[in-house]
Amino acid sequence: MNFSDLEELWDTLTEARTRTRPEREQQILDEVEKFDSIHLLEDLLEQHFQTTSIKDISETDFDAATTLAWILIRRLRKSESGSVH
Amino acid sequence: MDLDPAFTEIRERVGPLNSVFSLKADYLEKGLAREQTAAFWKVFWENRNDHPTLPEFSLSLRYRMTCSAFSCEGDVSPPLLAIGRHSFVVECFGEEWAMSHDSPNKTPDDELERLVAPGYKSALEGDPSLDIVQVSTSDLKGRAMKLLYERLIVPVRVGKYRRVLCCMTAPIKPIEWLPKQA
Repeated sequence: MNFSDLEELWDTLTEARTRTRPEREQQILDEVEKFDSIHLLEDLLEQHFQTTSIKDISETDFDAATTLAWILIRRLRKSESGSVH
Repeated sequence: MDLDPAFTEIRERVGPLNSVFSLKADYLEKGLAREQTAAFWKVFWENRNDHPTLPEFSLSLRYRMTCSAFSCEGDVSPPLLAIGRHSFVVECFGEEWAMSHDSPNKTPDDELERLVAPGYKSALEGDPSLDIVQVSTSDLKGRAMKLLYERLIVPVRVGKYRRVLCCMTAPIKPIEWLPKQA
């Protein structure tokens, strides 16, 4: 893990403390949308939490779900994906 | 010339060299593929004209799949984006590896990554790639294993336009864990 990763991790943790749940949900959806990969997020949530919508995650599971979502976003940032157009 | 006993021991332990055999679609059409590979192929084939999307695969299939980026750099496989909870790669390398904090985007075996990369490169051209892979590798704890599996890679849409490479890997025989050397 390099310094930029640590900084990003710190930002994520800080945001988790200061933002409301709807703001955190929207931030994740916006990030995933940037990569046009909503099905990957839905699949991740369904495999781990039996729902495809981050809005339906229970309060108990919400932090775990956001952690997994941010891992996905980091992987998307680090890779290039193709487009059918 | 006699072989060095140490070399003979390693060769017997590891078996034949690591290799990948490319197959044609008739392997699937003749019903030779594993059940999960055949089911994965069926979804892809039935939706091929509209570019299949991830939700078209059942949850039970998605549990066993991996999704990788639609790009290859260098001679290694494309980075992993999603790892199905019950996928063969989790069976081999463990849940601890799949869920580790540094979010693995490749298996721990660089040689394996290079060996299996050509199949991904072929799928990047838009065609399904079907192989049988025979390989010896080891997990993060250094436990050696021999694997024989079939692997089908197809392009799948995960958003309006974005594609990834989805891979279904099915063991042809159970993982052969090798005894630790003294």
